[in-house]
Amino acid sequence: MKRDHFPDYRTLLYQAILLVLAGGLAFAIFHTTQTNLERLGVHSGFDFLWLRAGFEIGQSLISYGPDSPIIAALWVAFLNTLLLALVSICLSTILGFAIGISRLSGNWLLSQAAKAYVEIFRNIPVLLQIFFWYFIVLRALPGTQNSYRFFEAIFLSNRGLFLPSPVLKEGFWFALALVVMVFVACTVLHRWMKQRRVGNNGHVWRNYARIGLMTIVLMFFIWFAGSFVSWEIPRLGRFSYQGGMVLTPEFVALAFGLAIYNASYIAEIVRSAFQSIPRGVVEAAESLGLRKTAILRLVTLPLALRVIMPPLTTVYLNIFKSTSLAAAIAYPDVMSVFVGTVNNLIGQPLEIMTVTLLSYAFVAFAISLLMHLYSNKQALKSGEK
Amino acid sequence: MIQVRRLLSGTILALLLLPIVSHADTLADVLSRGILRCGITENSPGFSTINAIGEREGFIIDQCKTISAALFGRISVEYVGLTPQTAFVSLQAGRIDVFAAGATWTFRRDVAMGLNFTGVSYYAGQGFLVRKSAHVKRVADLDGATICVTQGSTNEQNLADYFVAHGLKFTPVTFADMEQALEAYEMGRCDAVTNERISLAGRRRSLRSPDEHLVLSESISKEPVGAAVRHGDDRWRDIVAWSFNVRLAAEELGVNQANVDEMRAGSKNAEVRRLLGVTGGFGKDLGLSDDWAYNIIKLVGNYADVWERNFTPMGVDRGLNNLWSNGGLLSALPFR
Amino acid sequence: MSSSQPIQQFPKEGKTLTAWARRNLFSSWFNTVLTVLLLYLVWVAMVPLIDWLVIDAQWSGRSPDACLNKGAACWPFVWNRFDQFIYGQYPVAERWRINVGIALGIVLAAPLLFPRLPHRKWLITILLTIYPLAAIYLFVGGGGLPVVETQKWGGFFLTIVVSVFVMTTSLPMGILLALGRRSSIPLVKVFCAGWIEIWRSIPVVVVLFVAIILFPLFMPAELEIDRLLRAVVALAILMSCFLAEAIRGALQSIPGGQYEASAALGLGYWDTMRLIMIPQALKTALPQIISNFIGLFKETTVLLIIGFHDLLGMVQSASSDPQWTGQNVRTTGYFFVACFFWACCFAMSRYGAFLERRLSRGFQWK
Repeated sequence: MKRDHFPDYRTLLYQAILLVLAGGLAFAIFHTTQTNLERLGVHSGFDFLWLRAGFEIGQSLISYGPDSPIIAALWVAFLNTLLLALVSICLSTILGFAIGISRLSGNWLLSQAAKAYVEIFRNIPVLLQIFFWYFIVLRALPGTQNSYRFFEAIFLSNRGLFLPSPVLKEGFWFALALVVMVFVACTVLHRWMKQRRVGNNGHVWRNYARIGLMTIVLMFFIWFAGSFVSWEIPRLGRFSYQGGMVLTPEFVALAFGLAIYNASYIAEIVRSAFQSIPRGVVEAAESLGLRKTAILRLVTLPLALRVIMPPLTTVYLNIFKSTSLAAAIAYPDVMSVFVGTVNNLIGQPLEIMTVTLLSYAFVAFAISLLMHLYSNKQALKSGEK
Repeated sequence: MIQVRRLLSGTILALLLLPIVSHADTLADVLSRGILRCGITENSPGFSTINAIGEREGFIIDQCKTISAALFGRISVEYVGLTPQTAFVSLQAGRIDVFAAGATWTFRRDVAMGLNFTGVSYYAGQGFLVRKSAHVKRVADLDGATICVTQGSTNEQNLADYFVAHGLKFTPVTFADMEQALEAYEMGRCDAVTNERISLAGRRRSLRSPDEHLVLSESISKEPVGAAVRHGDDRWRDIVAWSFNVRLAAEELGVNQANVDEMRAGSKNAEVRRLLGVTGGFGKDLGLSDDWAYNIIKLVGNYADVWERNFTPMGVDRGLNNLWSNGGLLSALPFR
Repeated sequence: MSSSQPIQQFPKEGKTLTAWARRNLFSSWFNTVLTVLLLYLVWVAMVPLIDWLVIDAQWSGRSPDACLNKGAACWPFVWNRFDQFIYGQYPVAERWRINVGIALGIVLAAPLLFPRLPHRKWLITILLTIYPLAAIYLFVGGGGLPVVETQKWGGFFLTIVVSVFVMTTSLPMGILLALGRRSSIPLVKVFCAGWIEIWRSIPVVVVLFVAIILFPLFMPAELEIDRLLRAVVALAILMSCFLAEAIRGALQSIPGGQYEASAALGLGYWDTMRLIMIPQALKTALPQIISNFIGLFKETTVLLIIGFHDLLGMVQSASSDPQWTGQNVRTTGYFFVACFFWACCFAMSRYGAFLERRLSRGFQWK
């Protein structure tokens, strides 16, 4: 809203002053930093990224060793961060929705239990929860010799959860492409048939049969692709299990801690979203003769989801940012590996903090952008401006 | 406006909290300040602990006291507890005058990180603390082990280099500080802890059941550890380096904390007389009083005194840290 | 319409406990099963917990020997170290300074909790100008009182100091940023928007590390800024961005007619903001501001990553003391911290809910 408080020339003057001040400050900082770096004889530049790392990382999703360059270490750490964020987001969403919906249940005990959950876990700092889970995980799980075994391929001990890792053979990618093509073909075919009402005439079960058949075909192709993958199973060595993938106790503690803490926030968001749906809308749907599940699927859920999405994205963003707490436990994420280990080896804090900031900002912006696009799409759909 | 008043009070606050300006001439600054700012690490048995009556003691504390004795003739030290991550930055930024806690003298640190080292204070070696029940005799037995290690030190690099060079595998668990690493080791998170051998020996005694653990006699690196100062101040570096050298020279010449007074009064040895300031005027060349070396030996002792005070109770023998004439690596630079 | 049938009365809802239980707990098969399952879960989870925490726990005594051979919570650990948990490593002789400073703050701020107090403006002014200087003088020292370096500050004292300091300094900055983001001057708007978005996408831990590691490089070598001050300033900048978003949302909700009315009265931009918009926006955004404060209060635990021992940090380092053997010590410490934080945050959120209810009742608050 334009107000007529400022004639134009004053606006320009203010902007010019701001530019001069900001520019001056930036220049002063730049100059001081340069002087300091020269005085201290600290190396400059980003070529340290291609130096040999010289250290090992406890959990990595890609193959990495001390001979890899530092940029590979950064990539490993980044993947670890993303993995943790993804798992926490999934766990907290499931838990949060469950608790939010329980809050609205008619069963008094259930809704009070959900309320107690939210009030308790929302008011305890997340770092404390993480420490607590770490401690519990380390104490409750058995030592390597007594680990829990599942199917002789998955092992759980206080060193972590050891899983078989896939080894991709020749032709795997081709088989995967085939699976994707089949999936797309099935989806398109199903849509086309629905549109043309082929074979329907009111027989709903034919639709289900169609879907079932397509699923079977898809399963067959997935099994076919699976034959191109062999699994490396962890073997018990002298100290611990070798080979395969491992999810460290630190990862588990962080994932649990973050999930449980943020689930309390998600539960509140879900609850208030469902409570904000006007009773009249639900009554109208009932009067149309829709069954309860149909009302939920077609009326309540879409309305609630629209209200849930913006604050939910904020919570997701918070989860992603909270993965940096891994610096307090020995989980190798970007903070631990880059700002911790690499900074001490190389000693170039400016470049290292810049890279760290960029990696976090990049993902945060991506998440916010997705949220923006989604809410714009929703607004357009409902005809709002 | 209230907001303006708030901003104003905030600015006054910030200005109130700015401490004294410090210059690039460290000696003048320290002398005028009257107190030495010494960077240390804390909670390391034998190196830096707090005793039952609340005083600091340890090898690193004695390093600080050595420099202070040379400068002021008395102990006047402000101990700044640092973590390995923040230590070098604090030195670079001028928060401390000298980083007395152990730092391995490496190329990178000396050349690319803006630090100057002041000689070798002791030779450390990276070792391992393991459980006796694991039946590990040599480092090669740790193939495939999970090893707890701390960030911000050459520990990680040495570990990786050694294991790669010998074709051994390991999984690291990297902690920010030693307390966390030891706690995790005790809870069974890892099979071994790696750090400097002497400090591990001290830490072993603070575990819940020390007899279940042992420090391997093998070490995987050679770590010349010395105190570090900033680039750009030669005189300060000379002072610190030669202060440490005084202790070695004293031991070589047979001067210790007990006999320094009679040595000063009655020794016929020319080098002893130069050392203790009877002749020579060496103190003035450094910008200090001629009693500087005498004060060091009187207040702190020679190298053997320092070692016996801090490490002998832990059962750590001098090994490589003995004089060259006794089979070790330490040798004093001549006072001529 | 004529009715030959008797009017059907709505069945009276039973007011007894069994009627209530039948309605809320056992209304259907599914519900019944759920209730029984929940009761069983609560029994299985809560009973051992209460046993461990309260019934079997060791309550009396202050020395490490009191807790030997106890498989339950070790409260003597908390009693023994309680002073350290609250005051940190502040020298014992100087603790009166903390007591005086905090008591002064409470005495000055408590009347503000009651909405209808006269002379609020005077109280707020004193609280925001003289009190901070007095408090800093008391806590830090210098000129008469021995200096206590911030490295020694810790425990609950540190938590409070950081939270209060950050909150009070970030509020004016947040207001300015919100105004800037809504400004019609393009450069100001872009600058403020960019600033807010950048800071909101960086985690707190990264911000603290930047403050500790990079600030010394940005300042001339002669200028030494205390580590705690650096961390607090960084947190204040971060907090101001979150507050700016809350205030901006509140400003947006003010009807446009108010701007026009103020223009009609001849009020300039700053007068409009100061007298009309900001007070309304603050009232509307108050619940969010309070929830931000609670979040900040919990975030202070992150300070332990950069080496400051707040309440959680002190408990952590105290439980590694080899004098206190046994794993129960650590768990007891964690429970203590959890209860402490929970009590404070719960009280604050209840107060926030109270305020929200008062505000939604209309313009009664003077």
